[in-house]
Amino acid sequence: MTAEVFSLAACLVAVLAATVAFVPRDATRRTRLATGAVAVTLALIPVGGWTLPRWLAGLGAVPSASSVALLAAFVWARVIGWDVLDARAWRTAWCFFGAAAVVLYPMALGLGRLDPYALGWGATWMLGVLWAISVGLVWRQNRFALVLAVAVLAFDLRLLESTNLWDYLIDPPLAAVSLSVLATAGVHRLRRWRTRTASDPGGEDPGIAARGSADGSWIAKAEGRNP
Amino acid sequence: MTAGAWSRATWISFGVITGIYLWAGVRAVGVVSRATVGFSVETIGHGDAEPSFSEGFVDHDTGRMVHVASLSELSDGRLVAVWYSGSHEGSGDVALYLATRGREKGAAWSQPHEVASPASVARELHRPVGKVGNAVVFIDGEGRLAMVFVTMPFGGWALSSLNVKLSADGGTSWLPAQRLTSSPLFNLGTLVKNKPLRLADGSLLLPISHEFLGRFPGFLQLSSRDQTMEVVAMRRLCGGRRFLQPAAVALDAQTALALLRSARAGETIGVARSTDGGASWSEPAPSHLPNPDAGLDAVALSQGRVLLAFNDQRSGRSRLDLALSTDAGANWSTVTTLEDEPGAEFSYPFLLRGHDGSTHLVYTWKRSRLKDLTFNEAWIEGKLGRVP
Repeated sequence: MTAEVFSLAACLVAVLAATVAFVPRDATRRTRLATGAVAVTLALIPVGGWTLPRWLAGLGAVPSASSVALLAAFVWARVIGWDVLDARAWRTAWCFFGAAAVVLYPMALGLGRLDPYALGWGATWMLGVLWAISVGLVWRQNRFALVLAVAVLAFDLRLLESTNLWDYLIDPPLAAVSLSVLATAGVHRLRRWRTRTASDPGGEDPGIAARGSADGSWIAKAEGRNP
Repeated sequence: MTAGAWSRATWISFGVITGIYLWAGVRAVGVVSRATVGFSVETIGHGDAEPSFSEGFVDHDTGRMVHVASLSELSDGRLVAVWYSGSHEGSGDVALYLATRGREKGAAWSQPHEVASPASVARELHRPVGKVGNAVVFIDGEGRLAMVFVTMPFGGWALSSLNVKLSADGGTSWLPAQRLTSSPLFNLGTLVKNKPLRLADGSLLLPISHEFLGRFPGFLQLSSRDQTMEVVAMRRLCGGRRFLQPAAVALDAQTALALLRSARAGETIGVARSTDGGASWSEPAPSHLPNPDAGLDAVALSQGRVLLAFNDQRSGRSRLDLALSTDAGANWSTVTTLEDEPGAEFSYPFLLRGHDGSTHLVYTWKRSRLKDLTFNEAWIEGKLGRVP
C-alpha cells in the first residue's frame, strides 16, 4: 500500500514537472499552477481501466526516490521560484547519476560476472560510500546531499516495492537524462575547445578550463540556461 | 571552509544525514548476517527395497497447450502441481492451474483449477498485466505454499517480472500477489523454472534466469515475513549469454551443485558449485552432458547421489533421459531413456523427492499433457543393474 501511494505521488510529480517544463517562462504562477492541476487531473483519468500511474507501475517504470526529489525541486523552482537545488547541486546530480548509470546498467544486463545491483541488498558498504559522499557534500555545502538523503530515507521507509537500495537511487530515465546532459555538455565543451584551438594554435588556456568546470557554466550552457 | 568553521546548520545536516544512513545500515547488517548461513539439508532415507514405479498424467487432455510444471509436497504428504495452459505459449489467455494428489498409492490428481490469470493478477497488483507464464511452487520458511510466477505487460519473455502468492491451506486460498524486484531496468527480464534451495535460517535460494539482452543465471534469496515474501539478496552465476535456468542440489550444509541449461542449442549442460552454503558459486563450466537449449532438473537422493532429468541430445526435445551421479556431478550414468520419439516434444522436467523416499517427476508431454512418474531408488538401481 505504501509503495502504491508513493508510486502515485511520484508519477504525479513527474507529470507536474513535465507540464511546467513546457509552460512558457514568462507565464504567471497562477497559469503554471492551473496547467499543472489540469495535467494531474488528466493523469488520473483511467484509460483502458487504469490511470497513468498504474500503467507506469505495470511497466515497472516507477520513478526512484532521487528522481522524485529532483523533479520536486524542479517543480518548486518553476512554480514557487525558490531553487532548492542550485546550479552546482544539479551539476553534481548529473555527474553522480551518470557515473552510477555507467557502473550499474551494463553489468546488471549481463556484462561480466560482477553484478553491482546485487550490492543494493545488504548494502552496508554502499551505504558507507554514500554516507562519505554525503558528508563531503555537506562539508562543501552542496545541496545534492539532500537528494541522496531523500533516497536513503525512502529506502529506510520502504517507499518502493523494491528492497534494493539501487532502485531508490536511480532509474533508467534518470540515468538516460544524466548521460544525455553530460554528453551534450561534453560535446559543447569539445566544440568550444576546438574553436579556441583553431583561433589560438597555442592550445586551450588551462585556466579557462578550470573555471568552466568549477562554476557549473558548462553544464548550464549545455542545458540552454544561465548558470 | 574548514571543519572548525562548521555552522550549526551544517552540524544539524550532518547529524540528520548520519541518522538516516545509520537507520539503513542497521537493516543492511541484518541482511548481510544472513548471507552465509548454509543449506538446510533434510535427510531422507533410501525408501523401500522393492522397486516401485508408476506413471500417469496430471491433467486431462483439453486440447490446449500445457507447459512448465512444478511440484511441491505439502505437510500432509499431498503433492501439489502447478503449470500454465492456454491456446499457445505467451498468449493472453494463458493461466496458471493447480491440482493436488493424495499420498495414498494410486491416488488420482484432482480436477485442475485456475490459480492465476492476467486479469486476476492485475486486480491483485493494481496494474495492467498482459500475460502470465512460468511458475514454481515450494514450501516457504513459514510452512506455507508459495508460488513464484512470471507476468509480462506485453511482448515476450524478455519483459518478464517475478511475483509471489502465498497460501496457508495448501493452495485452496491465496493471499494477493506481490511483485518481487530483481532487475534495475524496469524490473524486466527475470524468469523462474526450478525449485529453490532451503537455507538454514528458513530463507530460500530460488534459481532464476535473466533474459533481457543478456541471458544469464543466478539465485534470488527470498525471506518470508508475516504476510509477505521479500528479496534479501541475489547471486549471479555468470554473465553473457551462455547458461540459464539453474537446477540446484544441496549435497551437505555447505556444498551444492548447480546444473545449468545451455542458452544455445548444440552446447552442453553447465556445472557450478558452492562450497560456502550458497554465498558464492564457481563460474559455470561446460560438462560432457549435451543440452539442446532446454530445461532440466536435478534432485538429491540418499548417499549423496544426484538424479538428473534432461533432454540427452544436442538439438530437439524428442528424447528425455534420467542420469545418476555418485560423485557430486563429476560423472553421470544413464539410468533410463523415458521418452524417445522423433519430432515429438518431451521437455521441462521437474523432480521432487518426497518425504517417503520416492521421487516424483513431471514433464511436458507433447505440449498437450503433463506426464508424471513416481519411482523409488530401488527402481533406479534396478535400471542401472545394481543391487541396492
